[in-house]
Amino acid sequence: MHLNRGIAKYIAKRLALLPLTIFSVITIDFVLIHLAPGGPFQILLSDPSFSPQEVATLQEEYGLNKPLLIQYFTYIYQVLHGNFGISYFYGVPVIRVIMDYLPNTLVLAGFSILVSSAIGILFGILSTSLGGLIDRALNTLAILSYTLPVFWFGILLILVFSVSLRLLPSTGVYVSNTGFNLAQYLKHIIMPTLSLSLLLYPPVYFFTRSSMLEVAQANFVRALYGKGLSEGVVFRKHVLRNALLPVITVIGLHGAVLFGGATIVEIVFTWPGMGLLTYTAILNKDYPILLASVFFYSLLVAVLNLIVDIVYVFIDPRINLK
Amino acid sequence: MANTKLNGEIMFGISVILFFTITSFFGKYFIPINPSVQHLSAAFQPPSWSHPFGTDYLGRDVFARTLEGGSVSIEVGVAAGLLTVVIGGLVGIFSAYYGYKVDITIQRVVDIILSIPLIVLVLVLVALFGSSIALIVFAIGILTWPSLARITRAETLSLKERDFVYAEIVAGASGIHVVFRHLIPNQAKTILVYSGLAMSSATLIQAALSYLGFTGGSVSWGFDLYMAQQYIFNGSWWMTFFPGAAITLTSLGFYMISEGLRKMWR
Repeated sequence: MHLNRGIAKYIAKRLALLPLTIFSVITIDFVLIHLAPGGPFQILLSDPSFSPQEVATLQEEYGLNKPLLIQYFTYIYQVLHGNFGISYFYGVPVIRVIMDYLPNTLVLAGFSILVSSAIGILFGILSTSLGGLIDRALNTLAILSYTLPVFWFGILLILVFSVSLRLLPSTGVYVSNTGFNLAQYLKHIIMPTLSLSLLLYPPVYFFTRSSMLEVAQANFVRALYGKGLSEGVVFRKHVLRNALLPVITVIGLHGAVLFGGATIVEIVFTWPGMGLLTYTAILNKDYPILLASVFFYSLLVAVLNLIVDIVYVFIDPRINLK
Repeated sequence: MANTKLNGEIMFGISVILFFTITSFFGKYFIPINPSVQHLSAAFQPPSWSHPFGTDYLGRDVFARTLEGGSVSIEVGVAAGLLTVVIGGLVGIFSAYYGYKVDITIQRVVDIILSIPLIVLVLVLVALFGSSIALIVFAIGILTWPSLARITRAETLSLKERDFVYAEIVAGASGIHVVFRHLIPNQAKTILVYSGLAMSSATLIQAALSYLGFTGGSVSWGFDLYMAQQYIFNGSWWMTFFPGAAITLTSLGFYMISEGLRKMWR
């Protein structure tokens, strides 16, 4: 009971930090709008599809003729009410467009966390238990994965699995003319997941490797051997379990890398997630979408951190709840 | 300075970077094939004696483009890496040395920058302000410094409790003097090791930007990869393989210099 109250308090404290992050990002968005040369709508004047009247209406609508401070508070008020304006390109509320694209990014991120953790942990175990040549080979592989451009790896996968072997589709989510189809969806997500996992597995690998080496040297493990337990039991029940804890932290620390990598991967495979949406918003100069996506990206990273913190509390009894 | 002999990692890194620097910036004086000349009748040719890496969709020679396409990557890699190191190093040191409000404010800024995916912010900056090389360097520099700032901050916090720094402060030395005469020289190795990593990742960010169309130059590996992907289904693998391998080698080169320095000073 006592412990549960501690956890609740800790989670509450972490939740309290969330508004601070959101507030900061709204501020960044606001500053970005006003730093853009000539303001956010000036650039539309050179676009033939917008008449000067329309631009003037937009400026009116966004209150750009009011004092800066009033604009700032109006902006905060609107964002907090889920009002990110109307997309220039799609002509519908930004929030609706975002909600169409966000789930695909979440699915891609979730799959990649699973796959890269599995690869990273497996390689970490292999490298510490086999050592020698395997260890060196896996280290080299991980360093190579760090320096390999993720979009090139994606294109190479397309070259092998779509062009040569004709096994997997190279773009989008569905085969055209059909609606949602789970089998097709899964088939389309394989290569994006593999590409993103290449980016994410090295930190998991290095962390698993170093914490396994550390735990194997720890006194409590040596005591277990002294007690007469077999190597297999010590490894499975104690070394492995203790060494896997930091992996969760690694995933939390790499939230920004995960969603940043997802951005590139989505563009390579035209996977309709936040990254593809952001990129097309840039090409279309669709500023309301662009600013909203910056906001949602930081929200995603913050929520992922929060989840990791909470999970960590439940699996590691030693954590300091203060 | 236990071991100052150049090790394999450093030699590998320096050779790769030197090689691409020479071919990219001076290649036009000794590489017989012009990377920009089009031969539409000879498009999509596989590797052969006359075109070792084949030709692309406009019949341009992929070998010459791979050798000479690195100038923007290397420029941005080195310049943005250095900018990152200068900002990150100084911010971390000043933040820890002056402490209190300066420190809290800077830590807050670090948290915010680290909470948004880097490539998204770089893309937004480039989209709003243009994609010149100077702007790309600036965008990478002002967004990637926090990792180093965390390292130099931690090291400065421990250095500033040491006697020789106390002695300087007691003797009436100014903050600037302490920072530049003691705090920076004492963590120069850490900063140098980090600069290789910063250059390696700046190279990758530049490549990604150029793949997305923000080239900042004419011949560039990233953009060649984008074009290659448009023609990927006609099976001309050489168009995708060689420019990508060049990006990987360059990024790996910077990484290995850093890794080698770390080993040398350990």
